[in-house]
Amino acid sequence: MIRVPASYESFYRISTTSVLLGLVLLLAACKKDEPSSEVNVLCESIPDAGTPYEFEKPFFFPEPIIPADNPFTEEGIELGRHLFWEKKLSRNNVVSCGSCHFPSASFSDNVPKSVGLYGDLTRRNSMALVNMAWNSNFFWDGRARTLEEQLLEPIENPIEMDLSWREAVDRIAGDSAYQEMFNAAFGTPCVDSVRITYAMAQFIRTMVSGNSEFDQAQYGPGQLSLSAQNGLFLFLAEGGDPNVFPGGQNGGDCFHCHGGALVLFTDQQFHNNGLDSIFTDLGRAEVNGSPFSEGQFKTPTLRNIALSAPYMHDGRFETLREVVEHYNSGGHPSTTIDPLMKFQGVGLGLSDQDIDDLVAFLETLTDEEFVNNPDFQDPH
Amino acid sequence: MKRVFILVLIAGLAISCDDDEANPNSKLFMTFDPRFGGDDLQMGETHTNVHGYSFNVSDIKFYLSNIRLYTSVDDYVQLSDIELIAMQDNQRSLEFVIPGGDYVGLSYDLGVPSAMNGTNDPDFSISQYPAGHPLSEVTSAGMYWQWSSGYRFFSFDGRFDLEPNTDEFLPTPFAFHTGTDTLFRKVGFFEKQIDVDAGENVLFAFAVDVDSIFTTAADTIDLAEVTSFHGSETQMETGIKLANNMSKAFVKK
Repeated sequence: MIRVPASYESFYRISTTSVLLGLVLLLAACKKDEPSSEVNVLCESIPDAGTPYEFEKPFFFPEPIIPADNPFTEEGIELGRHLFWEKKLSRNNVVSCGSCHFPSASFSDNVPKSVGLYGDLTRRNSMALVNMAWNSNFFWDGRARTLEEQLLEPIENPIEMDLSWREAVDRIAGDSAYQEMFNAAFGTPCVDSVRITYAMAQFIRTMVSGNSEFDQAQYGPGQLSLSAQNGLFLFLAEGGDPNVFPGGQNGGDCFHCHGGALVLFTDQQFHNNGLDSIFTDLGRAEVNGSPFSEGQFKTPTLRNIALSAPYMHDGRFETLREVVEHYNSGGHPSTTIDPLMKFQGVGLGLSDQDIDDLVAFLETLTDEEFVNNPDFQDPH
Repeated sequence: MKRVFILVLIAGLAISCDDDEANPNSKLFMTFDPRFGGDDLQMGETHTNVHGYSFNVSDIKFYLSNIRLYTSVDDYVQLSDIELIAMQDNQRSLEFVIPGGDYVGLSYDLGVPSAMNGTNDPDFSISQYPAGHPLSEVTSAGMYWQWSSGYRFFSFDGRFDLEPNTDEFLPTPFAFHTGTDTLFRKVGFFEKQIDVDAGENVLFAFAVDVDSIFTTAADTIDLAEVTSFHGSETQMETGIKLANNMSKAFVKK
């Protein structure tokens, strides 16, 4: 970069320029976590903008991790709700986030694969938005590590909403009502992709479900039906006949992946649960590149699961009974099937009554207060 | 002169980019890699175990507690009360800030201590641990079993075939999950005489030797006889063998 100087004077001029350029490069190199250049980032961050919102959780839930740079505010959550339900965020103004994540389906939808803005189908089943404040990876393949990061994808996805961030920002910034809401939430009317995703993340984190019939029985004075009680017993019992499999309890063996703590109902891990012997969707392997992860998908929560049929990453099972029957069958062998799927070929051996009981238990995880909460509904 | 000054300025800026250099404290790193037959073991890779069975490992997860760095044979700094290692998630290393000084070695326990595990505490709730804590439901990788034994201590899962098998698919799963106070084990002492200057980093690299889980001089786990242990009292003899072998599987590289 530094040439042999013609004179000392020019040397210093060149070197000073070079040094300044060098400083800029060095300082830039110090910055971490630069968003991709495609994402339109403009606005300054104003600390303490908005009214702090006191996040409430059920007493039996752990404290969640709320990103330090995106604290809850009353105005941020309300803005997030408007954006979540905003159809202007799709190119043809036809779909919003809420189109495929609506309350009566536990903020999912009820088709195997969702219908995007032009009528095309998405690759995978819409995931329910339940207790996202406690979620530690996002999408069926876990490719996003934070909710804020996850929210960058669907708007630009050509099947889902097909709008560039630049245009999304322009559309929102051109709306005077939104300018006021951004000003209230973030301290200036400025709109950018960060503020849009941050506000939506705040809103989605308020969507907490912990008041199902099960919760009222487990953590309160309620009582489950005898069928649901037996379902819970089977949920927590090891699979297999103890005379054949040491330690077997003739159970459903659900807890290994759906959580033994009976709070979040997911281990947040990725498993191949034996859906196929030949994979048409590589799942987690698309993210980590490991052949060993082919066919692995995120364990979804079971809260409100009765509302979000059909099931699995491709929506192949129409009912909870079909899901339980799949596990009861033992699943299909493959190179990456999870060792926790212990009964290929022989099955779990659950009776029809056992299957009914497990379904009855799963149905007690529906939280009507959650799906009917007026704070989550479409404000437009 | 001016040129030298500018170069020094650039050098200073370049250094200040590196957070570690600015920290007068030293760091101690612990790494854990699965090993088989002296080589690194990849998850899902088929090998032949000590009994001649083809097998692969899909995940190894474990809790380490009371991680202690010794300043002399009977004096130590407690680096951490509890940590989770989860191989498949690539959560395989720990990092601690330590003061400079002389140290003689490291030890840790395998498992969750009784008090943290809620043993004999009717008011215990996993939700007392906030997200991010190794024992929180959010960040414990499914290691908690509320109704039975509390937390799993060491979780070792995979598949095998009693016949030599070069196919990619091994027909039978195994799942060995220890837990409960009975199966809590001390690991180490791992001797390492070190004189740590301020700012200098120290590495304790450990192999988790899968051979040792199947067999040590004292205890053998034969997949022809047992393929799972999940804390059942009726299988506690197996559990004790597993816990013994798992605690011996940690080898300082």
